[in-house]
Amino acid sequence: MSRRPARALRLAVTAAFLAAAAIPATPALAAAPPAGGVSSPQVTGVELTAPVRRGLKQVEEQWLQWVVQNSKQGSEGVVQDLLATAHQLGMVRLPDLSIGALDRAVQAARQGDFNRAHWALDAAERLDPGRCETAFAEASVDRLEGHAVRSLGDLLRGYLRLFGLPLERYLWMQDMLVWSVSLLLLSGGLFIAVQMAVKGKALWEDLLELFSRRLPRPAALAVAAAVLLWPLLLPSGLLWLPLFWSVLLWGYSSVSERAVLVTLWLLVGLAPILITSQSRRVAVMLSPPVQAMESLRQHRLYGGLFTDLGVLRSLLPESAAVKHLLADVHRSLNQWDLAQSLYRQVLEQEPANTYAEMNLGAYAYIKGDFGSAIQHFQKVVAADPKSAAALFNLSQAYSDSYLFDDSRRSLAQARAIDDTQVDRWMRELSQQRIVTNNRGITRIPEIRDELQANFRAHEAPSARLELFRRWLSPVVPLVLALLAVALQLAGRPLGSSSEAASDSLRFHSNNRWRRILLPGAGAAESGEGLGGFFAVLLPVALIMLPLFGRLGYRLPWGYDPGSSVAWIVAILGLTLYLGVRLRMELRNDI
Amino acid sequence: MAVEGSLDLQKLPEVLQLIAQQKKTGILTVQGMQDIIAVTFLNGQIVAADALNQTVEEGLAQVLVGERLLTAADFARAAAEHETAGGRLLDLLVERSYIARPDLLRGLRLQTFRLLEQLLRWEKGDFKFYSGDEVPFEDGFHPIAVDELLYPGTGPGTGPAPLRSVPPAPYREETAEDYPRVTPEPSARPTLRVVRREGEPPAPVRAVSGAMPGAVTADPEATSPFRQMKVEKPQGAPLAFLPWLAATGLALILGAALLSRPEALILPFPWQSRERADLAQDQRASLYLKIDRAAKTYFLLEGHFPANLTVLQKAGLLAGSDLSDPQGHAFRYTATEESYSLQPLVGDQPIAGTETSEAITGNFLLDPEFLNVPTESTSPPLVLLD
Repeated sequence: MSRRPARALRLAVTAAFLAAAAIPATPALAAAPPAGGVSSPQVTGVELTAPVRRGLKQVEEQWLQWVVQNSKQGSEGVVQDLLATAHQLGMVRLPDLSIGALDRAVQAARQGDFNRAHWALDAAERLDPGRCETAFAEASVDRLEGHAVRSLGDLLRGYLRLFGLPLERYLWMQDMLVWSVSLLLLSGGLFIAVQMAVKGKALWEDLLELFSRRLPRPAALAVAAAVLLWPLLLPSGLLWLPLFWSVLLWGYSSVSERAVLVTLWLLVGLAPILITSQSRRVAVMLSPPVQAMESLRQHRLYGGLFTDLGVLRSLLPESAAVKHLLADVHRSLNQWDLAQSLYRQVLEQEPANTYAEMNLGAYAYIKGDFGSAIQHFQKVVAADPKSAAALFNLSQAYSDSYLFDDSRRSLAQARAIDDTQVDRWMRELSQQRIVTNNRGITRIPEIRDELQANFRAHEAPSARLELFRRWLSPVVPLVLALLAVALQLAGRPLGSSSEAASDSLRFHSNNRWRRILLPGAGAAESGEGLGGFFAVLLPVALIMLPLFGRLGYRLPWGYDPGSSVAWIVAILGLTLYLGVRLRMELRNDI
Repeated sequence: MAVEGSLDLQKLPEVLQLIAQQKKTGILTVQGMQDIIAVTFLNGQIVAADALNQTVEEGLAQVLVGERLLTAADFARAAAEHETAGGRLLDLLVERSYIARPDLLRGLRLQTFRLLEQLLRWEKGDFKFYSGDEVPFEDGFHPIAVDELLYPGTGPGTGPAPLRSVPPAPYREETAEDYPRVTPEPSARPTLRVVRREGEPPAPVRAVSGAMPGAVTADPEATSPFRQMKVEKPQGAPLAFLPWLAATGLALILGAALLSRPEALILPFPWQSRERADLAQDQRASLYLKIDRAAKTYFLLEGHFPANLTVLQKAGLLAGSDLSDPQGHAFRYTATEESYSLQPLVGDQPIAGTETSEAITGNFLLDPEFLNVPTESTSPPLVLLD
């Protein structure tokens, strides 16, 4: 799903609510909160109480303070304050501010103020630790400072950090899939082109001989050329041309070359299925709601977080998983009143949801309603007797209700299940004294699947037609194989005789430079299929290296590392490759 | 069977048999651990063998002396004469009547045979076969069949019919009339014979023997297979370059498709237009997300969106390739006070359904209205009257 449809949907939902409420659609009035100081979800995505809004405002103001800092100590102090404020909101990372700090660092480095650049980088790292963008920006600063080796090390560190970031890692894997499939298909096409370049003359001569039996020479030439090039007239002619050539060249190919051709046919048939199955998942992963959920999981507070959560609720208004997630969000923001309402809605849909029940009990406990709290915790214990957290909470509620015997018994039961955990709770739970859970946040994969199903429901016009179209492409390799075998069995003189197929010496050329500069030519002359394919694959892989991020999906990192490393590796690799080929050719020559 | 390879993977007898079966003409070079041997084939039969570390004369001397066809003293005398007189030692041996030519040829054949036997004992090395239309060999040399070499007891008289000293029909021996510009010196003995198939046009031969114009003396290296032969290729079928040209065109077009329409490479079938459009849309979505983050970072620092995307590229927030969509279409970027829009263009025309716009609305860091904290209420308090 693109951001544009999501944003359009968000605005549509807002407009619908406003129309129903008959409120003029002006931002100021729409932002007017209802009673209790809770913001309207139409504006903020999810309801935000006044303390939370004040906390967010404080973040914004502290950021402005950081921007005007001129010293490392000042910067560290403000960053500390920022993180403390974020912690109060249940968050530990501030990615937008981290990218802002990176940009400031690079700007300072360009102006020659490397001291400022370095403490800005430190601030960026503290605000959102472990990001690859920080390492890339550090590489830029080191490069500007003249430390080329350190810069290269930072670049490599940045790429390694990429694998620790879920969204970036996922997109990188998708990019690798797209790049690899593109590489194999392009190499396959070029392999067939090389085969045609080396063996085409023999094919051409055979075609001419075939048609010259019945046609005058000029007509035979025209017909042979037409036979060779007619697939260009078809839709997607560039696809059919190499496939057709692969069938024609079947008779001139060795066993290993035929194996390569069959593998390429299968790849052509199956690659589209592989790619399309992944592309819709990527669309969901890039959508604002999934971005928001992943940020919640990592406790990253970015500017549009709450608005994107509002989009999630509007897309799946009846989903128990979404309500559970939002309830946990409210709870982490200390918006217990809003959270308990959603927990109740979850329990209406999922009566056996002990996690929502537990958190409701926690809410009752915090409100001082120990009787209700005990009831909720008892329900959880009844449903899940092995829950140490429920027994611990029950003991706390008993204790505050002066039911000390029951409290001791429950605590003992909790210790019997998980003594270490109970000790940790006793040490860490100072204010709240009650254990809560983030089960809603762990339901993110379930919500993602619901989003995907929701997306597919809007997409597919006809299941049968869709199924037919999807599975049409694997039929193509079957058809090609049948054609090739039919051509061979028909005994046409297109290299189908065993003499022609095994006559590798027929294609030999004394042109050394052709073998060096044209990858796979030597192997094509020798009939080495795998060797020929890999001879094409390696230089094509090197040439395609700088295109890695462009062929698939752009990684949405906040600071771009550029593609200089890829270009350097590609150029050096190609030079080395040509050099090795030249050396091998000279070594074998007399 | 490979034209070149390693003796680790392919045994030499197999290579020799293949060349013999296919009746190839050319030179097979085998590079061993300490020597290189070149075996000359004519229509699948061996007509010469040379070693790099031992000249023909040296090998022949060992054979002739060993077979008592020539004494060591006579050979030494002939060698000394050869050093002063020049020319070919083999010709000098016959001219000075040290040995009769048939005996010389038999000795040469035996020397060749022994060299081949030595070659067959090699277990490590690389080989390569250079095909050609013409090969140099000693006139009158009785070719050695590969079977004769590999299966002792099938030699002349015991196995296949003895080979004639001239190439059998349909081959025709060329004469000087075929090359009117070649005028052999009366004193120079033509040492090479060029053979070709009936009906084939004569291929111009250059620097083959001392009989060619421009050669003052017969060059002993002229018959060595280590000298490169320069032979023009015979004429082939018309427009034979067409497959090569078409293959080159295909390669170029595939490369262009990769750069301009990468989705067409992995979703190539005509019935997959919707999947291609979906993939392109998803690729654009990822790019839009990246651009959005960059633009909002700029807004966070500067308080407004950039005037154009190049500003973001210069700041390092975007790469150069991000300034156009995955299909290579340039973006039309317009920014207002609180929002911006992006649309790919074809020429000056926007592509329908691909545009996006983003605003600061809903972003608590950028939108000043987002966090309007309610002030104290100014409405009169509600008073409950008893």
